[in-house]
Amino acid sequence: MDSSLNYPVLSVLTFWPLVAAILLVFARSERATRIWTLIASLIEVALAWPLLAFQKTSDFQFLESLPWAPEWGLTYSLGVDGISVLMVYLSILTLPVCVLCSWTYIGRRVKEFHVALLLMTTACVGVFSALDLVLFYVFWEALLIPMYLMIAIWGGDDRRYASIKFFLYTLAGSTLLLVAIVALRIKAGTFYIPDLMVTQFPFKFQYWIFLAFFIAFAIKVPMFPFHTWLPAAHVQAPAAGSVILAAVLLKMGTYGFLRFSLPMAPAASLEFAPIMIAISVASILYGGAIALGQSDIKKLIAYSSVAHMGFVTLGIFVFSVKGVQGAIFQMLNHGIITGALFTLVGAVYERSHSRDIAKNLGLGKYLPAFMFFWGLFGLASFGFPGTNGFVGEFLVIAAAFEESVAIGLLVIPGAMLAAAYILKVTLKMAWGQPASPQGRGWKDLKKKEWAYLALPAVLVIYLGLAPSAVLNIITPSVESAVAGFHIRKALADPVIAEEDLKPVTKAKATKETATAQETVAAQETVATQETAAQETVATKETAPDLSLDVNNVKAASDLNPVKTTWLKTSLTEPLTLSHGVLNPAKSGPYSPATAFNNLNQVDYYSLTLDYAVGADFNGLNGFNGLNPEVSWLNPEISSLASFRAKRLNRQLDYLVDYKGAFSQKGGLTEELTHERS
Amino acid sequence: MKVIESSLILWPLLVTLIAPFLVLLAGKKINARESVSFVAGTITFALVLSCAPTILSGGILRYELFQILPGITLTIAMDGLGFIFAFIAPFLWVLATSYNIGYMRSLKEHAQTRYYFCFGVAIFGAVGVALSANVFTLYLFYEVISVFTYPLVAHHQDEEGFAGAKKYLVYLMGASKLFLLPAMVLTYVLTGTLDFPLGDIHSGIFSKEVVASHPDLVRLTYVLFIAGLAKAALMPLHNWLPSAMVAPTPVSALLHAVAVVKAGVFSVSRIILSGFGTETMTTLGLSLPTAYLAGFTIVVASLIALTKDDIKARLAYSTVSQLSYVVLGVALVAPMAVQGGLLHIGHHAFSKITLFFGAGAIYVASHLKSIKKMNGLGRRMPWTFGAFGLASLSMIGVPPVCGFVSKWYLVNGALQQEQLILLIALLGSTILNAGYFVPIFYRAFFLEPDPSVPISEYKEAPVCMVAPLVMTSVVSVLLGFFPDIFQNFIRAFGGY
Repeated sequence: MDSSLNYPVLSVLTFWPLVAAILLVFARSERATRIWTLIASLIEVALAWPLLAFQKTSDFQFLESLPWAPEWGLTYSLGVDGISVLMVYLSILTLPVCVLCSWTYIGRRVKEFHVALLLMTTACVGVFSALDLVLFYVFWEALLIPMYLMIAIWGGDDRRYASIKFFLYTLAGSTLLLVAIVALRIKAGTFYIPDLMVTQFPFKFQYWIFLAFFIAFAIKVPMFPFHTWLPAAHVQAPAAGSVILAAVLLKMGTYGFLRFSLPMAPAASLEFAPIMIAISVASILYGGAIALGQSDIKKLIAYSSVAHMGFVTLGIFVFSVKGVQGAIFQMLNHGIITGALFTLVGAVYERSHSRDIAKNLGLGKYLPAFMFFWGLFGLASFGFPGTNGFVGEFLVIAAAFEESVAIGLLVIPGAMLAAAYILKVTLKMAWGQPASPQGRGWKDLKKKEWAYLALPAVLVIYLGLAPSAVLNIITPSVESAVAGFHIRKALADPVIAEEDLKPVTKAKATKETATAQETVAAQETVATQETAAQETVATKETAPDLSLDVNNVKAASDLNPVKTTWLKTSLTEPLTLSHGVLNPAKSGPYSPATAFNNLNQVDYYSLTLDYAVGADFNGLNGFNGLNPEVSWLNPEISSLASFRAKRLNRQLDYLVDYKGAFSQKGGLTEELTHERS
Repeated sequence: MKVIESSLILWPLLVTLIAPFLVLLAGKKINARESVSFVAGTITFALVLSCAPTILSGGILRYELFQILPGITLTIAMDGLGFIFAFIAPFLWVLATSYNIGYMRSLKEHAQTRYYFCFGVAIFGAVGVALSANVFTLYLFYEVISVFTYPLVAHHQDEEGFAGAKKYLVYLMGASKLFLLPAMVLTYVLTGTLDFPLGDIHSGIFSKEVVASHPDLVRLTYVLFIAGLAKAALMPLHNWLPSAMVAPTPVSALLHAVAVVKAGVFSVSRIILSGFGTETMTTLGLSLPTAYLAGFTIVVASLIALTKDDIKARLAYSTVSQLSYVVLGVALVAPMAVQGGLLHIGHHAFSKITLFFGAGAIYVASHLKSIKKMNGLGRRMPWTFGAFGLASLSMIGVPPVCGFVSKWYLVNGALQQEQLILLIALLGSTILNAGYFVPIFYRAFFLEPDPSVPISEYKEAPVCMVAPLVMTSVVSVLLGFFPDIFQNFIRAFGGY
């Protein structure tokens, strides 16, 4: 965590662009302004160097904390985890690209433009590294103004309409965000995000918080049907504005879902998941279908953004490690690919002064280097294997299929539409026969353009073939987030009735009693069956044998107690669960022996049911369906058991496989509390 | 079966990858540009051939390039089946380059650098498909072929060219995105891996437990795979192939007799044998429906071919029909049938490329496309029509030309499985094949020329075009006499 250079990295990264903007006062000419901003942006990139020392854990790192307004509970706290560090990188790397692609594009009010650009970077880095809700909100709002100005001053012909629409939409969302922030403060007594992320709120509260967050973030993402501001804004914004909009601004919405909605309102998130998934699928299909019909290149890419961000939200709301990994990866991809595509649209606009596809035909002949980059980013955009687009899309689709085959199959046409609209526009631009002899005098890409296209091009291929470079950074945070989500969701689960939890108190007594209780519970369930008698005998015989090799146990009849015992013995040793996560009310570390009992607390009922039906827990590798040997179970019980087993399986997976992430999470909470006091 | 980790098999892939860029570099220096293809083809062929002893002795070469996700890698491997395809592609690339030079220069085609570049990339894709060790690698190279053959199909850049090429792309990319992608995802979700079990055609990727617990999902995956691999031109996803005939004839020859369609049937064979395995195919009852669909395609495509007068259209439908022989054989999963099907990948490649080369040579020499107008042409172009006749015999399945051997195995396989209807389809198609190939030959040699066609002015196409087609027809005959050339590799692959 400690870098050799001891400066507060995140604060410096956040405020250096602001300082650079102030220094712009001294720039005498337009050229000096551009050069200074470029240098400042490269210094910003260099200043991010210590961030490379990011530890691949789920902890918040590079923490900074200063008292701000203690009487209101405000602190100036910055820090990044695996999810936000990537977004910080993205914001920082976008800046030089924006400066370069505006070099000739922006011809008037040059100084103001660059000030706006630098201020936006300050706000972007601030949003992604703020650990205090109010600080977050300040940066969130601060971003709105320069973005509004950028569209309103340097935009196209219809800029007034587009900028006001953008402003009103996002402002509406922000208001609700503020309401949610105040509500959280009242309920939890803190603005500190890592604390809020592990606080257990009652279901009703979560429900309303989720709704407020949802409106704010869904507008930002944007999710269908809140997307209409985006095409207008994109089309009117100057190239650099579109790049920031696509690369960073939209990510703030999905980042919000990950940082606030899921951890603070887990049960409500689950409650709303079907709706969220439906909206995501709608965004994917609708965005793709509308993109296919566009004749304006920029509008086409804008609608493709709606579809791409649909993949991100879909990944988030299936709540699996794969899904969230895919979502974050897709956020990064979309930033790189769509950002690059917008710079290319800007480049071609500078030459043809039109964004109409029909006016940009036959570019393969006149602008081969341009077409090469366009083709590369186009392929990446529709998920061509070997590019980064494929990895993100694949992870999300795989997660969707894991959730349900129906959702997976629904998303697939979206993947096809992506190929369709990209290939359509690419082939037309490369091969179309221009009506008039246009383009004779157009120059192919200049060195400056090569400079800012080379980086995303390299990233597209590199991340496509070696995505582990990014996945390694995000995975600990994702796993911890998903595991924490599932546990706390289960605790606030309205489905679990009080009587379901009753066996827990009994089971807590001693090891022996626990075993006895489970055996009894298992028997009770089985007793409803015809073969109950036989089962009971088998259970009694095998129950005390702790040393039995689980891998050699095949028959359903002797699975139940053995597995219970096995689970119990294997869980007691290495697992040190964070009590902060499992049960915030209690204090003092849990002894390893009670870990299993806590597991029961989560879903004791389904545990016994699962053992009764002999669901496959071998190595906790995942649910492999019901044991075929228990087909005698009546259908009602077997389907209930199957459902329970699937759910429990997930929880067990997270508990056991990611116990590392868990202990870190606990450690973090304590550490942070300590640091703040 | 011994899997050997070896970077040796990386070289053919690298050579075919670098060659197209050298073509671009050479640019307008046409002799240098065209010799790149010659040299690269020869080197690739030699490199593949150098692996033959290892493969024949039961070894499998494997090399992992990149780890994408857990269970998903970019890995290449060469077993008996992969060897055959990796052997054919560069071999025919060399011959096709000679033919290309004659064709493209005679007709003074435009954008030849782009043409040779895309041609090279398509071969790279074909070699990649041949060497795929898992579904992801297969998918990657399969898509490379789709994208980079588009400029070849649309080469003429006229309305007809764009229309045909659009259909080509919509069918191939549409099917691969709509069906192949979810098939791959489902495989990954169900099994956690995409690796083919090398050296084992029985068990496949899906373990017995998965098949037992999710039989319907595995079936769905299978259907998606078969539908997604539209390059195999199984009905009803065959329509792109006749449309793609708007391409210059060498493209039709190499790509639509070898690289593209063979990548399709090769992938289908790979998915059936290595992806699902003969056991799963039988347990889930997937074998016979696939075979029946293939049988249907064989007969119906042949019937359509009968009605076509344009020589390339007739050859296109003949290709649709012949490709299904491969699918039928593999789908039957009986040892004899599988051997017949896989042999047909090689045999059909050599015979069909002869036919397309012939059609192109006729076009260059006389600008004739209509079969009705070719009366008496054989006497003016004896070499071309002689080779054409030999290749036709192979299509019909007359001994001793190679088509007979594969058909023999297929018929035996159908008998082994006691599938009377499929047997009738196979035999019936023989009659249909004769029905549409014999008339061409008959007209060319035995009918009096049409007075409106100035037959006497025509003579053989340039030597660099005639030589390759004579060679491929000779190879067709040789393969008929020595079927062991390919068969040994198939035996090594299937453990027969």
